[in-house]
Amino acid sequence: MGNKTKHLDRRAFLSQLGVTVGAASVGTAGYFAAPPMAQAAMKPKGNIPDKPIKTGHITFLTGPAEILGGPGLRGHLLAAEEINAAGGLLGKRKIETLQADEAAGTDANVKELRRMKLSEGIDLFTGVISSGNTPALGPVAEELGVLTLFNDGCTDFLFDKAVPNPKYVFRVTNIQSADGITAAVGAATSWPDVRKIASIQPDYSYGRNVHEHFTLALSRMIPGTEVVAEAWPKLFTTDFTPHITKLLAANPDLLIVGLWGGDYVAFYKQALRYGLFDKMKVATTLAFGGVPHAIGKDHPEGVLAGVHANYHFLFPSGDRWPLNKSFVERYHTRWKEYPSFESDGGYAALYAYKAAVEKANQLVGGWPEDEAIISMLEGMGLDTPAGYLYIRPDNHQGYKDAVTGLSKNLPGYDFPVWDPESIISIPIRNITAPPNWPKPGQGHEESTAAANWIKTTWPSVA
Amino acid sequence: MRAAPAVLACLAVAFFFPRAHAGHEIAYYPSFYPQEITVQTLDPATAAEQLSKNSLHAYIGATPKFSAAVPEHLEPVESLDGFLVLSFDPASAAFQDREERCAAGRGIIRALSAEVKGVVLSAYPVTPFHPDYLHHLDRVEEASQALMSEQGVPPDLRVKAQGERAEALAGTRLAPEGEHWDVRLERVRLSALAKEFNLPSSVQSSPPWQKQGWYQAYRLLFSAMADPALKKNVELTYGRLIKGEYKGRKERINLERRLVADLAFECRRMVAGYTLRREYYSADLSGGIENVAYDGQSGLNSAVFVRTAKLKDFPWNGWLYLGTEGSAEAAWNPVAGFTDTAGKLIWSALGDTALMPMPYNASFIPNRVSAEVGSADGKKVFNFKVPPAALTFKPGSGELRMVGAGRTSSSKITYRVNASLYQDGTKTEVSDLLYAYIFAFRWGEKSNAGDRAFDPVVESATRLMRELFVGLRVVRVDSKTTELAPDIKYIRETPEVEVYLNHGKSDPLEIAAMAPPWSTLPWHLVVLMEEAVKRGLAAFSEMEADRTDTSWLDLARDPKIQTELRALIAEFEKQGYRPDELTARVSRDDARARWAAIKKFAETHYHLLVTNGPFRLKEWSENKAVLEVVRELTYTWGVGAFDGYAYPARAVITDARRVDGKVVLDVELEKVVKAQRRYSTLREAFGKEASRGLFRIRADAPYLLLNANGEVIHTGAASHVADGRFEIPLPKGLPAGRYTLLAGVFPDGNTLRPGVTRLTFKAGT
Repeated sequence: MGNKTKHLDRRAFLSQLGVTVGAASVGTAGYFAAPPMAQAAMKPKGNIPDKPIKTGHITFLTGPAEILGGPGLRGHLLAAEEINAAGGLLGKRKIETLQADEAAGTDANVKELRRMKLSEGIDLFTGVISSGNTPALGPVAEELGVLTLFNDGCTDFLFDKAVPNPKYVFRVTNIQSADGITAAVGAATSWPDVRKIASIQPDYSYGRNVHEHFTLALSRMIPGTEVVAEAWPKLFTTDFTPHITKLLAANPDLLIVGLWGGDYVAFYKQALRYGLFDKMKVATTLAFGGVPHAIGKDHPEGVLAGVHANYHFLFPSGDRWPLNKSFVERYHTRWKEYPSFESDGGYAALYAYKAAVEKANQLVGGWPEDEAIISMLEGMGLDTPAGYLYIRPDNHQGYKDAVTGLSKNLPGYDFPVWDPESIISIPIRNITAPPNWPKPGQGHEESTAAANWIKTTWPSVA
Repeated sequence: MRAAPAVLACLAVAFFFPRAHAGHEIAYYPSFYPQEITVQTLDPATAAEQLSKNSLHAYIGATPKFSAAVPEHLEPVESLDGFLVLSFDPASAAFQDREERCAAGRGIIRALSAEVKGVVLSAYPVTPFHPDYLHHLDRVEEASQALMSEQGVPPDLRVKAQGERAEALAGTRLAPEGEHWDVRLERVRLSALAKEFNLPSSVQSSPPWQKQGWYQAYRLLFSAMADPALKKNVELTYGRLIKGEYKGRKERINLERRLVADLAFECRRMVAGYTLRREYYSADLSGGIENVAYDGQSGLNSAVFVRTAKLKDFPWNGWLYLGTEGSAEAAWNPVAGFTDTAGKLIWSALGDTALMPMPYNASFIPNRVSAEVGSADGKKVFNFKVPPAALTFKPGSGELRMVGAGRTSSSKITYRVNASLYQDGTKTEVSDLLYAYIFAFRWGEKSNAGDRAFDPVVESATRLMRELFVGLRVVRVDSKTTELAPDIKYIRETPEVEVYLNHGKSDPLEIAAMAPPWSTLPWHLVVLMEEAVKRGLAAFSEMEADRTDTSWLDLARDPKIQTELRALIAEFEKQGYRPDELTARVSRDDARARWAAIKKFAETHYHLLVTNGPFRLKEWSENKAVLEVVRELTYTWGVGAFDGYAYPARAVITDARRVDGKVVLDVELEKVVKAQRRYSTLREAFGKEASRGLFRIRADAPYLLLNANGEVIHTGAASHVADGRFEIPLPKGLPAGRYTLLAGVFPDGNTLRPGVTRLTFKAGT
């Protein structure tokens, strides 16, 4: 991206963003310059102890967020089982996983992490879904010196503010601001003629984040957009009728929805009664953001169905990216369901650790120190089910191409999936603030570095 | 952009900080899955039709009447409904000899038709649906053998049958109406066994033995006993069991066995079998429900069902449609109303109990209280010194008093109460907890002959608590602020209360359930109801309503009562009224605020059923009630909190053998496996690492060793030594003789239709 250009064509701009549409696309334009990491077994160097590697994994095992935490843990366990079946890390060290329920709350999670490190002696900490928890656990992990690969907890705040100079803490999920921006790119790509925008967002910080980044990014890609209606249902709202009638009254071209889980389902079922989906285009950040099978086939087709900008099991498609196909098959065999973006995260995190351990071993021999593993993780590129995962060395944030797609009912699935022809993939570097971009409070007061970066550098296209 | 959200409510406060570190995930959705529950009374044929069409999610209380085969998308749930009981005519000169009577009884049971659906013929009162089944396994099998070997039934013996099922069972032996009969065969439902089985939970203390076979046998058989000496023995044994007068598990089980044997001895009334309730729910993808938990004795009509049932098409939220048998005639008052099937279901969603019955055994789930039983030094010892300043209540008036010096108790329970907002916006406070006791002591005990503040139903429902209660002390009230998202915080208050009781030998959870400091109703509502009853406007119980010829208090559906209660509220608001017992804790202004809150609630919702439970009455008609979810942040539990109780695994013991000095059990595990939104049953060796989804299954494997006299001489737990294998080391030095080992394997404590086995062997020299 260059400096602000006044008269850039929208199509050219989207092209410049690297947006590809359709199942054939696969993330190709990331930071990842070197060939994908070799997966062939390397003979470990030096003496490797056979003591198991203890992994602490805190995630939601109960409550509404279990639809996120459960798949994440299942991804983690599948990876552990596969690695163990092959002899363990460096062929010797089996992975043991200690689990704890993230639903216990932030204070309890912090205590549990301390207990896991100090009493159980964990070597690695993984999991964590909540963006309220990663900023609390990140500094503790740094203090304890425990190598950490967060599954989610995607808030920009983690590396913008809470752990601005991470040593031990990494995260494999795309950052939160990507949600709204990905939906905006998806909407601009799918429906370039929309002008009147309506927004329905949960009335808490995530909703504000989506609204801000979506409207900001869309306004740069489609000039003349105007927000004609905003609906902010209170948290725990079950009756969306007043909001739906308000949105319909504004007669928008496009509705952006940031509701998730059961709230999204209650909303869409009520909206169906009003024919809302026939009267406007609908983009979402999280319609498919839980487990794939969570919602029914009455979900309307043609909705831009977000997956937290991360992963859907149908993409990248098998012929282009066999790793995903085989992962989906193995995951389905093991857990009798299809993986979600959290499954991919849990799986990829452990394999990233494995790759870093192997690489470090080749360099230094024996079981590598954490410092050596960390240096291998920094800047690592890795083949994962979702495509290439790149871990930026400056902020330890994992980046993979952001994806979204249009909902469709395909035979063979009890739930709606993406229309393979509609899948939109965006190289994450093109919708994320680059390394060393000033963080909030460093010369700007935007809510995220990404928001400031867009305002500063994205052109208003003609 | 949206501005900052406003303050939510009293306890729950939201703040806005301009930060962006909340994800979309909200870790806590208060209350349970459905956003709305419709409860409608339906006849079984209509229910079958609606279930078949997927316009009903479950039918509760009875079996739907299908006109054809049961559709494949419907799943059955079986639970214990009651007993078939055979009683000899006490006025008849025939069958005066015990042996003759017992033999005739067995003969009749054997001769009954075994073809009637939903009936299991069995001559022993403890069934596989009772948590103590293992304790009686040898006796159950002996009773069954005695039944099979019984030949003689007087050919002219006539049976008077009460009820459709009993008539079908009696077959050709049925005595024509008005003609001579020798024995009466009737179905006794659990709900009729003891009044407290059927009462709303707001004033009832929970007898921890309510689901035990020995207790139900007592309720069923004791009144038919005639031998004074035997009756006295039974009363002594029963008294020891409920007062905890035994040393450990072995003695307790021996008492239970002796009680049942004595109750059955005379054969004046005999258990002929038990009846099962077969309810159905829709498991259709995607119109059905999943995550279904139910109680082994009350089936789907249980608090755990409405706290787990999830619509398949919704991660949470959605509209749940339930049908119930019968009509909704019982008054809707939370003291002694809600007694029919519909009422019980509705109240299970509106109200909340301190502890909830564990669905698959006799224990409890800490719900609105957590409890620590024992002394501060961690010993579970007895004879606690009760602080002189601890509070007690005067029987008959409920007046608060100090316990005074020198009192002791056999147990001390320290409760932490999960307070929350009542649905009128007022807080659950210590005054509400105290007032629940005040009410029980006032209305459960007659102070004089003309006492208007007395109800016999309250008397029986609260008797256990009143008898055991010694005193209580409010230790403190803790307050904690929790952040749900950076811009949403809430405050929860947790009163800590010590309760002193004279019962100390039970399981800690059982003791905790006897007299917990809890009220699902605010004190001002209780006062309002009391005043209505004292003024003769209505009665709490149906029995008292009949006796006094007043109406049965209904807080929603009786417009006359509504008008009168609203007038009372206005009067009390004006006065800032609070009962004398609360004047030290509640100011006149606080009281006024409470009356104003309930007035507003009544104006908004058109009824007075104010609780701190998970659902609120939204609308109703003659045969229907619609309940809406209360997603209120101070509420204790959230969506998914009780998921672990759905689809419990069960064990099957496939072989038991004696090998050297131990007994080896081969055990398989039957568990439900979830595949997306579909479920199937898997049976495999009970692995040491067995799990349901992501949760490890705990293997409880108790055993009893009996000597040749049928006396329990040893108890213990089998070790899970390998996948599919458990081992029980036999005690060394057993005297020569014949022994019987009774063993069970209860995955996660599931004693419903349990995997049990009996092994008889000789040991010693």
